[in-house]
Amino acid sequence: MNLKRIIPIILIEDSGAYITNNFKKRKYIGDPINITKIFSNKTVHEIFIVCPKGWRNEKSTLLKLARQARVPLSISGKILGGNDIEELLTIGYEKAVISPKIDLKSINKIISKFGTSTVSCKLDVKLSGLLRKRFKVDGQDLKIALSKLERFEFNELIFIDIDRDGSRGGYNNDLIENIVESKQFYSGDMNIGYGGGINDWNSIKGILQKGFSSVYSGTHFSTTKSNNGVLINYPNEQQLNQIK
Amino acid sequence: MKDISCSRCLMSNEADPDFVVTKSGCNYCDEFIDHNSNNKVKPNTWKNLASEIKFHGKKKKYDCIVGVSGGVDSSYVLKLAKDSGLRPLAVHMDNGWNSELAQNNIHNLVESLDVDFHAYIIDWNEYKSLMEAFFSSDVVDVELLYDNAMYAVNYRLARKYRIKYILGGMNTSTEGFRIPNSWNWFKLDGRNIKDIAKNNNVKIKSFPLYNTKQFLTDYFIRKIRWENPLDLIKEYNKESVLEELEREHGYTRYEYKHFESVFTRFYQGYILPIKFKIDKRKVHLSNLVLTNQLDIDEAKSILNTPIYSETNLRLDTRYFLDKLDWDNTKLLSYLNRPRKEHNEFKSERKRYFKLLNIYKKFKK
Repeated sequence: MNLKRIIPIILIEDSGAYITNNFKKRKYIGDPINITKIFSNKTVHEIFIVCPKGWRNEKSTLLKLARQARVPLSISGKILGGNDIEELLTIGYEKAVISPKIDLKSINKIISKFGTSTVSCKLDVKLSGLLRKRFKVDGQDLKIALSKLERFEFNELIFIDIDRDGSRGGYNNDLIENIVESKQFYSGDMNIGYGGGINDWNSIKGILQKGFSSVYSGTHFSTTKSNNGVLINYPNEQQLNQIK
Repeated sequence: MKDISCSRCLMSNEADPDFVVTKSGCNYCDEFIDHNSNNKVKPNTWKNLASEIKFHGKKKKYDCIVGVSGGVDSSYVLKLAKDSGLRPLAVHMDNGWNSELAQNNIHNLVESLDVDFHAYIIDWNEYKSLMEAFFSSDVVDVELLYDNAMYAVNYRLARKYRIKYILGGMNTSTEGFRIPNSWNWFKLDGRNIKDIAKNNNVKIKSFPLYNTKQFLTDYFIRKIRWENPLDLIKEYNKESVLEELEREHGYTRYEYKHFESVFTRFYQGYILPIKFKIDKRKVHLSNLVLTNQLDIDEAKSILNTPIYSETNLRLDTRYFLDKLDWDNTKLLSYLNRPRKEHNEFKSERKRYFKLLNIYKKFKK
């Protein structure tokens, strides 16, 4: 059985931290260094740093952030190949999360050099089609996108639901089932993560019970339920014991 | 200069030109005792205020604002408001230095009390450059930035929701001992902040400034009142309140007073004592001594222990340097420079107190 993990997301742009809605609307939530320190003091399982403008754009922040964090850090944002990953590992990031769009050939080399635990792949899923019933990743059907990744041994495939990002509307059960049904495309022991729409402890538990190894959220772990006031939070020990 | 200390409390002439020894003790403890004997809480004061708040808040979404920091005092005010049947909006201001403990306490509190929560997040890069301006100016009250913005945010929200009452966590039983004038600055002095910023080429864009003019408008025209309920209830006992909050609201107490912010700890525990020779524990401990909660010898021995453990000081220093992009040399040169006074910059302090005196005379 895989370890179950709950992972806050911090989106960093021009050295500020934000949460997003539909990957578009932004809300400023403060200084990423202090937010990292708070999550770190909460001994969260891991922190996932996302840099839409690319990790190099935020490098000075990323260095400080790694110094503050006492929990594992994973990072995504224009990671283009082996050199990038190597540099990130040296400055204290444990896992690079790549996009399925990049040249995957070079990735295999990295995985064999540093081990499977160092590279994950993030798929941003969007509903499309006239009836908005088809799940697409960068314009491709989810299953086709997955089949292309089949032969890579990532640490984790992370699925983010763009439509429900930041909505607190609960997870999309259809998408969850689609992912679980596509099991033939990824080896049985590969971790799968899910993010998008998380609104409470039950939705976290629900996702984990469906076979996912980790749950990701920016909004839920940075705001209160009432009024969406910005406040860093994380499940307490009692709750975490329920998912062990 | 000769070191002179008070015999009854812990105040002394160190870093305080206003300190005067009197027959019974010093000017500070005299004032404290005098103030306390004149200020006995009448029964039902809070109950009456609560019904007044309810009356003015009819048909409004909220009837009062409670500023919360994660500390015991403001946490208890929020609970008190809710328990008295009020509909508070909990407001918190984040300046990029919040501690995990504070965030956790606030989170547990607002969720368990089921109150609406509003957080105002100050742009960290702007706040950082303002702090930098204050450091370069060598003025004593760096926390003026936080306190001033806190007033701004609370009053701003009161205006927005047409709320007449803001409830604060100040109280005389634990905080009533007056802080010497030379240890901090007038908190409504938006002009002072502006001028210090200007002198260091810092542009204020989104930082929520508050000044006396805004305060007077809020007070006289909009009739918004700032009240401190802990002074209106009989015998506010911190220990029993802490136990209650721990039991019912998942509260965790702080090891130090004011550890809701990492900067406040570093400022009070390191910058103030080293650069300004100010130890704020004197005020707090004197308060406890005069209210018979602590023996004076015990208080003196507490004062002789270091404020910081070595590990915490090292960690906080590292964090401070990282947050401000400073190195050790810069910190040392800051700590070694002599202080400058706030009134070397433009200020509205004098004018405000002149007006206040006229108003007081007029009211008589």
